[in-house]
Amino acid sequence: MDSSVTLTALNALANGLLVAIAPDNLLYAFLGCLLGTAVGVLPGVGPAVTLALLLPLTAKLEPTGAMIMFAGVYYGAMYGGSTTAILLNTPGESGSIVTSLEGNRMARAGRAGPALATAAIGSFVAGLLATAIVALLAPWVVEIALLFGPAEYFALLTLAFVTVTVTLGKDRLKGAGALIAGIATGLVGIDGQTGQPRLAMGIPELFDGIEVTLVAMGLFAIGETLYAAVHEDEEESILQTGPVRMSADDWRRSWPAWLRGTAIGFPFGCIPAGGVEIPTFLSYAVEKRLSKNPEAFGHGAIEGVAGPEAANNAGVTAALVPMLALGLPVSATAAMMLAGFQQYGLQPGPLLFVTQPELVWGLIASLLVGNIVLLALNLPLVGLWVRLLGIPKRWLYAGIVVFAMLGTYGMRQSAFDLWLLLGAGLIGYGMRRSGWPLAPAVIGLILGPLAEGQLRRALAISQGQWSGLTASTISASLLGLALLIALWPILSERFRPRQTAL
Amino acid sequence: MSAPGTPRALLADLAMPIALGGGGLFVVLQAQGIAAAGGYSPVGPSFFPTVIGALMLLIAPLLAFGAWRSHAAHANAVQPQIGEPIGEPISEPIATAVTTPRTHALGWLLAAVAIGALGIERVGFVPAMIVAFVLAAQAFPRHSTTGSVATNSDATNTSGRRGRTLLGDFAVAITFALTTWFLFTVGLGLRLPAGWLSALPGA
Repeated sequence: MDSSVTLTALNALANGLLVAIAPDNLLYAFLGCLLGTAVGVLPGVGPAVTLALLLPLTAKLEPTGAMIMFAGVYYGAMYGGSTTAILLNTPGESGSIVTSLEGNRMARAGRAGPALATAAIGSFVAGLLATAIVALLAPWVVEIALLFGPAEYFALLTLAFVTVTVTLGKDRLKGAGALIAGIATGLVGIDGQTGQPRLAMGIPELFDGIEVTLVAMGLFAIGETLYAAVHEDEEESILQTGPVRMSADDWRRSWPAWLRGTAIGFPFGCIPAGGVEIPTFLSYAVEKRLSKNPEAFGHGAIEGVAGPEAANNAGVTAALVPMLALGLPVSATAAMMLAGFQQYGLQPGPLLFVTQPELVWGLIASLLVGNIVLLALNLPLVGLWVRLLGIPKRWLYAGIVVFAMLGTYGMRQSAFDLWLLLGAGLIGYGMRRSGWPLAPAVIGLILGPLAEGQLRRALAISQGQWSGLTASTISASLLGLALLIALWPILSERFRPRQTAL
Repeated sequence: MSAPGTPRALLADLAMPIALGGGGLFVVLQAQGIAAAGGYSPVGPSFFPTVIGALMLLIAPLLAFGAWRSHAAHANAVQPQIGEPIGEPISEPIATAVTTPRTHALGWLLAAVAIGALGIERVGFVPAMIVAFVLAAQAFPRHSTTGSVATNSDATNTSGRRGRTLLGDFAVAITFALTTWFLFTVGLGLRLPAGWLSALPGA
């Protein structure tokens, strides 16, 4: 490693920390954590929705403060999601599914306290380690990213599309459908290069395109509300949490799982569209295999909460590497972070590190601060969050509907957008009902226009020669990798020697 | 989902592929209407939409076939097992309990958002959101707490209780709408239409 790059990174991080612990920024981090947890703890509201719902809150702040508050919201939302997964067995996002397996068993056995504690501390440990690695890794990725031209970016985006389709959701075809529909939605509006309106049907409100946050709120918040109203029944749950304190035995069993979970989660988060579904399941499988008494799994084994929670948080934090360095969101949550940046006209990517270093490093540092604030805030407040779950469902979801409308209207003061929200909500309901993953749609909406722009730029540079797309080694190998992943199911079917157990 | 294998379930499962196919057709047709830009441009503004629309048209029938096949499989399959082994990774994020879908709930919620869209600029944020909140609340059963065990007595609601619930909905709606108004306009400087309540601080 080139020590000067690392040194510069550490220096920049120290400066960032100074920005993050300024009293008003600390207050924003604190507020963000508080609100993020309060909203994230609501059933059916995952971290991505929480970010979408709270995005308008930060609209009037200056970028640094807003991003710091956003980081707090993000961690709060993540933790809130785990809380519902454990107490109500309703994971708000795919990353908490595994948490609910053992976590809810523990809660049913009266051990909700230790389950919540190991989730919180595990997330803290993983978040801390992962943020540190992000700080060290991001400048390196930036160095590489600066070598990228339009052709390389287009190849990278193609790879991201393929991996998103393959990894998010269990059905590739449904994932592809969601992704393509998202890309198509992103086409609506004035074409940036020629000034021609596309797919707008002459409706002036559509000339500016369809807001990502609007679609996210429609798909996630309204769609989820519709689904819950139509299909979900009462679920029973445990409201008494018991003591939060972890026993010595809990600690002994948790900490190796936290570290292993972090190690498993981080690499998956870094690769485009690695997602957190695979690493959390992987961590669960590893913990089960390494456990001295695997028969405890399925009856509330604390390792089964500690490992996946750490893997989840490490993966989500690691997703900031491609998000900040390349402008590539690899999860719905990262996509909402990107939408937060775009709100200020900032386009994440290698140049952001150069043009807005205090913002980027302030954000990374505020992740560290947010992590600490969250731990300090949430362990004592578990009882309060649990009580939030006592809000009647009808008021809870009615509030979510009103909040989604407020957030949508607040973006550009247009009642027309509320009709779009309604449409997106209906589509989100249809997708959930048919088992389509939602995240590829949001990612397609964000990355689609980028991919088109880079493709057209690349072809302009190569003077219309399609071979220009594969001219460089980087773009050729990225496209080759994308092709390989896309064809993998067919290839592996062909050359599989025998069925191997996971 | 609910009652797999019935013709109604098949129709519902075909809704998304049909929507995708329809969308693809729309995108492809619209793309043909985009004028090619003058001057030198290897790939014009209509190229990408044409490709994406074509992909939608390609995937939609495949998805429809998948829906039809899983429907056929459900129709002559045994009921899915209730107790899935916990140790195995569950592929479906949220376990969907087979219950009677409350389709009318869809109407209440759509009405809520529609009222919000129609009313926010005509009567103002607070009144429109109060009505939207109350409408949305009607989509959910009474006395349904996210964290409480349902009791059988819920089924026998008298009209008196219904009235009390509605009153409660309004009270919460008014409090919620006003709190949000103050938080966002006075507190955060967001501009929202005041409508009928132009005397409110923050308007």
